[in-house]
Amino acid sequence: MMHSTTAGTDATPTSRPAQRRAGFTWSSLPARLGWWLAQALLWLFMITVVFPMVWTVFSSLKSSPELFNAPWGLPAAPQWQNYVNAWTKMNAGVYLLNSVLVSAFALTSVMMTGALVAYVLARYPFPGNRIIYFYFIAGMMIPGFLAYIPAWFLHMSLGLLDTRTGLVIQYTAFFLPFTVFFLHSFFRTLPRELEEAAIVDGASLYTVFWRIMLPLSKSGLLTIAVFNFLSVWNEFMWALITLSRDEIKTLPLGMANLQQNAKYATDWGAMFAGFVIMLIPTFIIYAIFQNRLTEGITIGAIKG
Amino acid sequence: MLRREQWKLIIPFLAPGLLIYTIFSVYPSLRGIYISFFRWSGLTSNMTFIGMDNFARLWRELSDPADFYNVRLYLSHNLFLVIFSLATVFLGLAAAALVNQKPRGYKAFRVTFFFPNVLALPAIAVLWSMTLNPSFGLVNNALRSVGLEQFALPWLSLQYDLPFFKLGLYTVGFIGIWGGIGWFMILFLAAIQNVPAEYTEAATVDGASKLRIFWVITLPLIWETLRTVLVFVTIGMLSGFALPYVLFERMPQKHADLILSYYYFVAFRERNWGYAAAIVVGIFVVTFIASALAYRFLDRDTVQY
Repeated sequence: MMHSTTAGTDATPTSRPAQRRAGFTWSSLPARLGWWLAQALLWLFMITVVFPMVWTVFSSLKSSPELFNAPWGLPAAPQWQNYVNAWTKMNAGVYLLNSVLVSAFALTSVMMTGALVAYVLARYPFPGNRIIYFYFIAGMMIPGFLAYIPAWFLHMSLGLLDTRTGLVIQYTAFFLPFTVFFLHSFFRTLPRELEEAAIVDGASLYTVFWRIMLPLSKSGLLTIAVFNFLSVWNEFMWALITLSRDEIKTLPLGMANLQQNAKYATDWGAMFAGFVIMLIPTFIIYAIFQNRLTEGITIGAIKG
Repeated sequence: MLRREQWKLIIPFLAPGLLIYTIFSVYPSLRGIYISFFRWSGLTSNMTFIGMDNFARLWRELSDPADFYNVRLYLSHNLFLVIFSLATVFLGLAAAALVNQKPRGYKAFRVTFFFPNVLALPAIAVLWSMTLNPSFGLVNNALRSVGLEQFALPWLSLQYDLPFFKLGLYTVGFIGIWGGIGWFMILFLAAIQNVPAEYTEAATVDGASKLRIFWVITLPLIWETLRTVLVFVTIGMLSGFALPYVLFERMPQKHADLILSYYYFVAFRERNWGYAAAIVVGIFVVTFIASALAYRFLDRDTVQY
């Protein structure tokens, strides 16, 4: 057997376990070797993802001399002090708070505005509907850099530069096109009958949206929310250009600071610890919503 | 005919999104094109219309290899990274084809391969600069401990020479592959699993090898997805710059700078906003043409069995 045929249950009905011959023949040798090699490469790649992460966590619990003398070993005595130092001296707490605030507000804002636009565009064939739809979709093709300079001046004249509010508004504008695109294709698939029945029963159009359409779209809303959350949480370039005060910087900027300080740092353990602190939220989100992410990409691939 | 009542829903639903998007995204983009025809320091409202002069300067700097900032070199770095991103797409496709065969541990592959895609760029940069650190880094220590001392290189060095480019730039390319492969794997996996099983089953019964089935049946059927992805990747990488920016930090740094680092420098250090805008418009036009060509060039009749 080349590998297990009891590969578990998979939710995809179109795929099926590969059929393979049990007997050995010399003519099948090259194919088998190729298969083994390919599998080895997959495992190797998995190691390059997992191992640095594990190593980083171990390193965050080591003292500086230990890092240099025993980079491979487990921490002799866990140095929890590293985490205290990272939290206090490297501002990890401040960055974390800012990221949470900005992400929460930007996510709410982009989801609300995006869902309203997508719903109307998907369900009401009013004159100009297609034009407005393509007007939003065009935003996915235009490089952000084109807008950065004028947007910077716009923020300056509106007093939004170097504020969290400015970030929230700009992120809403940046991530709106993809949200509209995604939710539009989702809302279109919802059945008309429910809507019509509710209207016959005397429900207003608003009620139909809030009480029927939104609850039916929960899974689509959740998927795009996860995408938007990660986009906002990880956004780096715009924050780099517009934020200069340290007390309002977000985590990606904190990470970049970490990188910059690494060249002169002496407290390596705390650096590793700061890195781990900043990564924990991403880990949690990924652990919970991994399926949502792959599902979102899947929809993109099939709609093509 | 739409009733009045429906307009009362349509307009308030559209308004907030349209306003924010128009004011903070569309207007600045159009304005960016507009100011590329001006000389403007950004410090005063004094803008001088200079027509195509900014673009002429860009062309001059591109065609002059002795130019101090070496814009041509930056652009060649970008093109170099395009090669790496194309490699990422094809490796992702290969990984998808393999994982689709459900080898042992395929679920773990899906989860771990995708993980780098949820990391912020600075996080990737920090992770790899720690892992590749010459003194305590994981990679060089591993190489030393198995006696491959001579391969323990300064991976992020912008001085270490390799054919064509510095070692650091190759490393950036590989980190890009590492960070991007999972996305394409998931995407192609979905496309492959969308291929009706009857086709591949029929071919298997006829005794075709797996490789041949992939080449003759699966690939033509997912061609449209592959084509779209290739076009988007070309666009993305020509305007990529954040990873080297964080990895190598200071700029301008001749050996690893990308064209957008130059933009950043012109805009925020030289404060020549008109010229900076022209650089972006130039990149945008070139990318647009490149992706249109790629789309045309990859055009094949979609296979319908």
